[in-house]
Amino acid sequence: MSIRDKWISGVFLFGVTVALWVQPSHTYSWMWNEAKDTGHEFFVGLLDITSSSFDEKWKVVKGGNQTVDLGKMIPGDERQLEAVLSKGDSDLDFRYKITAELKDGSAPDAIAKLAQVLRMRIESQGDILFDGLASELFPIRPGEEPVTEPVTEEKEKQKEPALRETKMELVHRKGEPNKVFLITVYLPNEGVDASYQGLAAKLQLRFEAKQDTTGAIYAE
Amino acid sequence: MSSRFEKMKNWPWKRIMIGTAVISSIAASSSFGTYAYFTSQVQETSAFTAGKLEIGLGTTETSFRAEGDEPFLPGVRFEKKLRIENMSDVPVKYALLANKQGGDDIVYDQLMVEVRRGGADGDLLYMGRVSQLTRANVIISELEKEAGDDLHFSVYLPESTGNEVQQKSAEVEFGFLATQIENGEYFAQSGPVMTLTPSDFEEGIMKATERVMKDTVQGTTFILAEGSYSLPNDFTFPAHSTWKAEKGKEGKVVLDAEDLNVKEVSFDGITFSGSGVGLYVDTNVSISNSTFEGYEAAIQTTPGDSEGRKGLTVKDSTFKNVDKGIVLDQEMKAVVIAGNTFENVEHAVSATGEKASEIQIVGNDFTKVSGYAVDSDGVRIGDGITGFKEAADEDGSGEGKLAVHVQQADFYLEANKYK
Repeated sequence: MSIRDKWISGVFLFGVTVALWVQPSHTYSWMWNEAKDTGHEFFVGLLDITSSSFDEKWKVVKGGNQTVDLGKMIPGDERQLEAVLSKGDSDLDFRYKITAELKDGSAPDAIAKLAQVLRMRIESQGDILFDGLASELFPIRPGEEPVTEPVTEEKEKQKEPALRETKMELVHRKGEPNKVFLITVYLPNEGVDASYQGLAAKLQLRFEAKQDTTGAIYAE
Repeated sequence: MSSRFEKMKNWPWKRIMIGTAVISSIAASSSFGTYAYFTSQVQETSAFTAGKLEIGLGTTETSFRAEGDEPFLPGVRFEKKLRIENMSDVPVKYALLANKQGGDDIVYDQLMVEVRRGGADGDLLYMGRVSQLTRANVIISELEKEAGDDLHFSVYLPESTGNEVQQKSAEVEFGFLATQIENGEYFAQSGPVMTLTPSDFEEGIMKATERVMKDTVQGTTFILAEGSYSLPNDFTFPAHSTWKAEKGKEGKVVLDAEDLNVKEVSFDGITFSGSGVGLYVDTNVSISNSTFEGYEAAIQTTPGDSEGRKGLTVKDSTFKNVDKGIVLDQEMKAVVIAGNTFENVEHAVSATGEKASEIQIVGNDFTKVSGYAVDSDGVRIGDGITGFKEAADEDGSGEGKLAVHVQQADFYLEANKYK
């Protein structure tokens, strides 16, 4: 560094020192007074359904196959699985739904064709909560809008699980116990012709939950 | 007789004369004070007593709470009214303050607060992260003596906040710091204040400036005087520093800068000008009331995977004549993009869905964006196809809202203006 630069640097550092020295800011010069509110703890709740479970094996309700093999179901066959929604340590109200997804199709159009005929029925405590095409329970894809099914006043009064927004959305209130579901997959007796023979796919079921506030979304 | 005269003749007449003169003078002096003309006298005794400067909190609600006593979750607003009263002998000005009393940084760093004067719909004094209020950057210029201000505080976690905050907490204490009207602009900064001018960045002085930067304490506020500053792209901003345009010179402080890496830094009222990428942003960067001009990408996440990168706030700023405003192509959580205007911009906000990002986009003006206002991997969000479009509430009330999860990224959009 040249002598000129050193000199300039020295002047600069001096200037900075003076600038810091004369600033009253951090010393709270002049008269000042502070008033503080009592502190508030913002504590975030917990939503955790990870201990929910699905039975390992399907039970045969109707038909001859003893294992889950959608490719080997024939019209009229039914398979059933028990699922438990566990609230875990959740300490808040939340909404949840059961989603179904067909994966790993045996042919390029296998999933699309099976989605046309494969049906599901979901029961809990003796009530049928859903009975329709499995495709109605597929996760919402980007660009799709949820199917809206408004809550009836009657159901809201009864504080029973209500169907909201989608075909299979339920509300779990804080303090309620875990919930058991019977999920039945079946092929109808009619409408499944020979063109469906040999089509195979895996059915993946999931519980999804979200906080019960306006605008909340599932992480689909 | 003659002998008596002789004796008198020998008297010390000179001394007698002087003594008589003095006695006469004393007698004359005393008679003046008593009898000469009419006189009157008034005496003033001034006691210099310092005035009192004192503020207090009026009657307030006991606690922050949400409507319907909802629990504290992302998007749920906890509200409280606070009243500040001036009990001083003089008018005062005051700053809003917030302090972390305890809890987890992951909550505290993401907490947002809106402060309005005169009620929930009153004038907005501040909207931003609670952590920024420790810098006392909101100053209410005058509160008359014996007067009070009713302030409405609304604290929330952004809707885009994810599971990482579950069962975590932050304890926050809000308050006010008042001082005389005459006190300086930066009376309540949390650290030292240093004023810099363009000449401090000129060749020959730059090295000394960088030495100063290296030695500054955390929390220093640098006030930039009007002018154009040329920063080398390897310039290192001191951690936890704030860079502010001098009061009244906002928009007249220009940083000619490209490829600047910034982390744990705040900018306020600065104009960034250049080409290429303006700022590469890492954790905890706050930009407000600033302008970006001429860049290919004004703000972009620092290249390379970096887990835990979080805390980008861009608010009340203007992007002009840039190809891309904000590019989030790496993981970045706790992003808030609010109240910005994009003019002659091709794409305003681009974020990849492949990274686990959380992005809140609220109250921006995208009306002069020629391409996509917000996009994720080329898919339009906010004004895109059904399902990617902000929509009003079912009854048609309220402003447009959209919460969407694209691959791994969470987006929340509200009250933005599109074409």
